[in-house]
Amino acid sequence: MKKILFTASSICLVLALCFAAVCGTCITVYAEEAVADYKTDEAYIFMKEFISENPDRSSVIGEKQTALYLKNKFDALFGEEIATVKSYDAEGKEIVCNVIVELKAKDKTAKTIVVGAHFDAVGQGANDNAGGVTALYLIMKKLAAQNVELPFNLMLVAFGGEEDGMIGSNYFLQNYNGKLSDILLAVSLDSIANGDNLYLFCENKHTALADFILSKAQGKVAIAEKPYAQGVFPIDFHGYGYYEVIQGSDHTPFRLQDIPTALFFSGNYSGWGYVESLNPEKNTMNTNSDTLEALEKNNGGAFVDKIHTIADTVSATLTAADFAPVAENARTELVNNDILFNAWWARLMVFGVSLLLALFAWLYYRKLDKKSVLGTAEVKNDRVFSTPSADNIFDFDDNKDKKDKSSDDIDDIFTFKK
Amino acid sequence: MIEKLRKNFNLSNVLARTFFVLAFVFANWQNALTATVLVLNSPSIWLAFAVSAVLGIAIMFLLPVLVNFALNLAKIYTVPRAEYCLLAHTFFAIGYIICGLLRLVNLFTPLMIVWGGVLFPFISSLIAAILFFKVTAKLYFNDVTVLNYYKVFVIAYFIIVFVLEVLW
Repeated sequence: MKKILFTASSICLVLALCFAAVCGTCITVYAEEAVADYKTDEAYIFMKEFISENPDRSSVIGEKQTALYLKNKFDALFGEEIATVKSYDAEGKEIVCNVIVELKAKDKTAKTIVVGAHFDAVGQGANDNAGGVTALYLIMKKLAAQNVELPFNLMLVAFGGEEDGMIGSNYFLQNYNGKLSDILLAVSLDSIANGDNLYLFCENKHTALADFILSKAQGKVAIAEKPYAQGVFPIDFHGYGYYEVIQGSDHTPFRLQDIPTALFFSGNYSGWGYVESLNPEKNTMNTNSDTLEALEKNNGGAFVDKIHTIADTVSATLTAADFAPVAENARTELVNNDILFNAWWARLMVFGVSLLLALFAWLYYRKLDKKSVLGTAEVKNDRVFSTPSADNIFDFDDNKDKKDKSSDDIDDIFTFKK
Repeated sequence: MIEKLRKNFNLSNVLARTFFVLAFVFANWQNALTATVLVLNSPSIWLAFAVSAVLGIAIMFLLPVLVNFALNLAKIYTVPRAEYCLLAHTFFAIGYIICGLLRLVNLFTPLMIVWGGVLFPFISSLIAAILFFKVTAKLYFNDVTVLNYYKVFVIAYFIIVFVLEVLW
């Protein structure tokens, strides 16, 4: 019996070792393949070339050159001159430009969906936002390859000037040819490559739009809806009436025009704090450390997976047959961010309530007035605090004098209370 | 306990002022946290507490000066000033506690942050002011003198509400 058990356990051990060895080899091979794979991936190749060809994406001249570079890339995807570089001036000076690709629906009354990513950067800007531009490029590539007829106009926009205060997206809206109410939805892709998690942010509440987009999520990396804001700041940078870190992106100008938005971003979001990563070394946003080398060092090839996940999800959402009604309905799901409602109605209400209170105060004054006529005007000498009397501190012996008049010891007259 | 405190003004004064500063921090730490975001670009909870504590201490010293100024302006000389200031500290602190409790709503949803930013201080200051008036009127004023005190108190309250809540 012992021999059988020993033989069986030996066989099990050998099998387990073999299994472990095979798995280990597989894992090693997979890892090597993954490392090797991502460098030949189209997303990586585009991103690397985009960064190296456009080292300056923060100056006006650098942004213009980058815009022309992107126009050529976008045109090449569709095999025709489809992209336009739209420049915007202020006081006679060109300050920002956007690259716009418009895919028109057959129906001339169709409404519009905007998908955008900003191409300007602080430093090299690999994560913020070469990754987003790469995803935008992949979305265009998919749509160009599928050649599908969409039931809405689709504007794919590479925005400039985001880092300087969402200037490109603001100018896009100010110069929009058409009614802003005809824009069904604005999707923004920002800083999607480096953070710990991939998030979708629509509204600070449950919406059918977010549900729909998440139901179409594709790719290797999970996308979660951003936790609804809990820790926010009672200050108004952008017109929301409060501030949370996530407001600083190109979706904000759209949202403030009551256009539904969907923002894709990466990071780690909980309570009051947003960080790219819980690992402080990975937090490179808006610094000169936001480089492709850092992305590769910190994430391996995983950042390419994130870019593909976003591009695939957005493409799948846009081309879904049942998406148009969801987008049409999204406007009804917006939280009220009206600046007048937020900033002034509360004050006006306090003012109104104060007037009402003043009326009550006057009535009470009349009551006091009547009371004062009938009042006694007695002297009030109440105090909350009283100085302790000697009786509270000492015990006096009142009979002392009678007992022994010769004694002059003070302890015989009074003692401290115990 | 209360009886002991009523016989020890200095201890009561220290406790009331400490209560005032703590209540001020409790009511205003969210605003201070915002200030740290503006300065540091990231929230710092400890710095927020420190900033609001310093501000609370400054207002604690400022409050008796303002109270004395208002009483002098209204020519009310019959109240014991030190005691009145101690009560002012205590009731302001109660107001701050109520305000801080209401502002906890902001931790759960941003939807009340703007309306709450205006309404919460109004509600809490109204409650604290009514309580403060009731107590001080009963203690220091008779049927005749309370009339002038009430008039001055209401005017001061509405000026503060209008300036801080509506115009600010």
